[in-house]
Amino acid sequence: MAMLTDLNRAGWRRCTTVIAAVLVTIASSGSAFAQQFPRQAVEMTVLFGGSSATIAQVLADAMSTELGVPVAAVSRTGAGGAVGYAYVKSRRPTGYDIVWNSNSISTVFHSGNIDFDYRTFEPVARVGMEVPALAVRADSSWRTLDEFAAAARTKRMRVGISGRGSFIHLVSAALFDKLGIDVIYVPYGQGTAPTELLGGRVDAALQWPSQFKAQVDARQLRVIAVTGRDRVPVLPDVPTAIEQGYDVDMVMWRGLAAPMGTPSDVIARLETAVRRVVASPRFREVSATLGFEPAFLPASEFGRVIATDDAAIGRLMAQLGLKR
Amino acid sequence: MEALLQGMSVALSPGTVAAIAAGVVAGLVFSAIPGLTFSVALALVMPFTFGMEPIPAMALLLGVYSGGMTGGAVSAILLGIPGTPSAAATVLDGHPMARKGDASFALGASVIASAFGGLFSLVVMMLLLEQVAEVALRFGPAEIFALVLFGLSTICGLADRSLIRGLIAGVLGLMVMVIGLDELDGVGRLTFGSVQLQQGVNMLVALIALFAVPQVISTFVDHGRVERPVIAERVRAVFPWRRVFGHWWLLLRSSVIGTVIGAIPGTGGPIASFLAYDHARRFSRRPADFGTGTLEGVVAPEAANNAVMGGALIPVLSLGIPGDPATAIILGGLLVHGLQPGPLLFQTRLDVIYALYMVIAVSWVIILFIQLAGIRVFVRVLRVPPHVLGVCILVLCGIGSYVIRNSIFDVYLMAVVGVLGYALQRMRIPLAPVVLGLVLGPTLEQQYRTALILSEGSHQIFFESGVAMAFFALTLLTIGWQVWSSLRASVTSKPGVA
Amino acid sequence: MKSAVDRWLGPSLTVLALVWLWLVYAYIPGARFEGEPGPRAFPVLLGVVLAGLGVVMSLQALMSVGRERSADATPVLTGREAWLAIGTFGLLILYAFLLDKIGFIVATPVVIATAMYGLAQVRRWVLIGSLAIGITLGCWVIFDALLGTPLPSGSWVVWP
Repeated sequence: MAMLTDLNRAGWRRCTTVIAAVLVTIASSGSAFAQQFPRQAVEMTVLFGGSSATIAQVLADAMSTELGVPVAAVSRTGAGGAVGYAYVKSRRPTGYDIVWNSNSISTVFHSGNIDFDYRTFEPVARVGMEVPALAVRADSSWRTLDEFAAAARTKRMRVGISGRGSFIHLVSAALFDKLGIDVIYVPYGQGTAPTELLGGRVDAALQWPSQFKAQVDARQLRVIAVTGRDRVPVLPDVPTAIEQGYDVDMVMWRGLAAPMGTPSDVIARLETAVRRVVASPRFREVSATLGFEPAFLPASEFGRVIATDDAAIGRLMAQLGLKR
Repeated sequence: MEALLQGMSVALSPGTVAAIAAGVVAGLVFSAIPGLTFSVALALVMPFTFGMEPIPAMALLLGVYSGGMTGGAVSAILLGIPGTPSAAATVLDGHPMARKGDASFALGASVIASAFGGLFSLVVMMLLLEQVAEVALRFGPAEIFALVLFGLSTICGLADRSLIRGLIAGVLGLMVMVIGLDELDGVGRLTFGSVQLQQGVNMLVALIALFAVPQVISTFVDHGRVERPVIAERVRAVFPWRRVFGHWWLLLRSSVIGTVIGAIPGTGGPIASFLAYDHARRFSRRPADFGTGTLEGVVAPEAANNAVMGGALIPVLSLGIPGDPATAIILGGLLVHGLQPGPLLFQTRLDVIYALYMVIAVSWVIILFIQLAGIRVFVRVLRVPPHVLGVCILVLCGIGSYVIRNSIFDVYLMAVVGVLGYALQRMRIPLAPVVLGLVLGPTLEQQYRTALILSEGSHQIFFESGVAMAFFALTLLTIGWQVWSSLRASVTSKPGVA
Repeated sequence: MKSAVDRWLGPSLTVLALVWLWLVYAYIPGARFEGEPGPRAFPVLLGVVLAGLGVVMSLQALMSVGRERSADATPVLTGREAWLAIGTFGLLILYAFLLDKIGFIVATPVVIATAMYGLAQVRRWVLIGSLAIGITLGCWVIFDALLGTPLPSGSWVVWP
């Protein structure tokens, strides 16, 4: 698949779009309605910046070649994703407005910042996962969760996280609950927690593996656990929490969803495009360097994942007193 | 040595240079339009780089970044609207210069100062990367809070006539930024259940509104009433090298401020440029001239905010950790091409590092050429009758506010904040301190709270830090000096009034 | 040095600050954990400072009664200024509304023409027309065609 394009790609793509549209119209005149689906640009609302936005752009870029119409990753950030979800919810369910969603739909809902939940959206497909990782400085003596927990019983640890009520906060709370320790959560915005860890102001930080990667390679930081069921490809030597005897399996899934009521044939068309993109070697290669784990799931299974996760997140937030 | 040659040959290949030039032009255009900053431009250009070779891809991104850093000054000087938040301080003296008929002089000076700042920070990045990264790491929440508090104390200097009005303005600016979802605790503040209000007042939307709307209203008011001042535009001074470098010591100090602040995560261009502006005024022999269109008032913030670029790239290259959204995109661009910045990159791919340095250097050369050549074109904007220009600005502000977050709500917000700004101006409350409050407010509060969470509520954390104490001392000095001199001024001026 | 404006501006700012404080206490929760400032501390501080500054301003204005300069006697806002300010505000609100409903391509020329005619008092139709079309087209080329960032297409409009 020619995913490699050049500078005048936009113009070129417009040309091919017109040609493709004409061809599709000719081919489908009289045939099923579904054939007509991508007739205009698809807008993919992106809720956050950083590496997940880059992945969204890579996905959108590849999907436009798959679908034959431009797929634009449009950033609508703010309020922990609430703004973007509210926008996509308000759009007509035609499939031309989709959202790059994640567990954030559950965290914003249970924190009371929006009055609708995951059921407002039709799942399209899961694209992949990001697995939180717990890092400490390499000059510390903690190599395992056990050693960290033992040290944390003598001295209250400071742990750098993203904002309170964020998914990262929930994961760390679940992890330290299992470890049976009490820590001070220090919320940082804009992904500065790794810097604070390097600067020695926090004892550990729970963030995404890609944020630690450079410093792990340079032997400045050490990741002592990841919170998924399996190890992550970016940090293959790091054991999971489950391997270390603590039953925590919390990962952030990312995928696509459309407003409720989007026709099922349209969803199917989008789903197929995602399936092809995720299977492509180029997407896997880029994902690997960005610390993202491609893990395609079709719409129906994705829907079940979202639902079970939402229940778990709701319970956890209630436990932590974050649910409103 | 081999790496150096290899890096240079890639960086100077026609394809790469073309990519830099394309990036620079895109960045300039974007940042000159209010509402579009280099962060937006970087995100939009990003997909174009996916299919390119690594170095040309980075050349395109870095070109957008440096072009976007300088372009903000163009609209700041010509229209009085900062194209980017970093250029807000440039308006204060740049726009008055344009009104005096020195637009091309101001533009020329700003470009030269920008290039100086940019190249200075590049040299620092090349020579002192480790050391600056080391310094930046020592800035935790307590230190950043102290630094930003010091920045806020410059309100005193921006309050042109009355200290109390300046303070009121500053507090109003800080208040606006409270609205929205609190980033640390995830609770809505004064959002009244509205999802739109949760995203808060975007700093850039507020800046556009405060700078553009009152000004546009005034041009409509003046139209047909006030005789239009004939601006005898003096194009002679397009290349004011000598006059700019007459302030070499100021340029150097401002560049240092910019580089260091750029390297500290959680700060950035706006803070650097306001600090540079204020320190230029404080050390000037004619501080009273500031705000009326002095060369120093343009040169200092422009050198500083462009030096921020090199500074901000330091943590990305040395630690592999971005400090702000713009460098996060740059990092993403590197990662997409399989380059993981960080200490290891210096050992494994030194050629890439050299190529990146070279690309930045070339981008500044290109900027100098394009901008200096473009000045004659840019200043033609001033020939457009003000009331017609006003209409254009109005519409551009609408589009600009929309594009920042792709949000219609922001267009409404711009209208509301803009008219409030006009009302404040009519009540003789200066707008510059409002802007400073907007720019510094979120950082100030967040760092303070994070510091106290770190220390479990003990203010000891501020006193234990030498860096923080030094900035507190500077803040006290600044305020004390201002209060003393304003008291003295009111005592001496009293008999004269009445 | 004190102007007549201060006599009502000071008290109004204090009232504004009190309303702010009331809103802050009513709607923003306090600190969740003991010993830290929480989301409410900073807004409260701002309210208190603004109230204080309002009081100081009122006092200063009171002390200087009868010493106004003649320049201060001019009204803060003339009728024409008020109308133009309201007009500009209204037009921006209209623009936001139209962008949302009928999209960029239609809303922009309408708003430009209205602003030219109503606010800038231009009566040269060629100028109005060319500007309306020129700016719309220029922006569309930059944003949509070159960069592929979608401008609002309007929720009332159903594209074929």
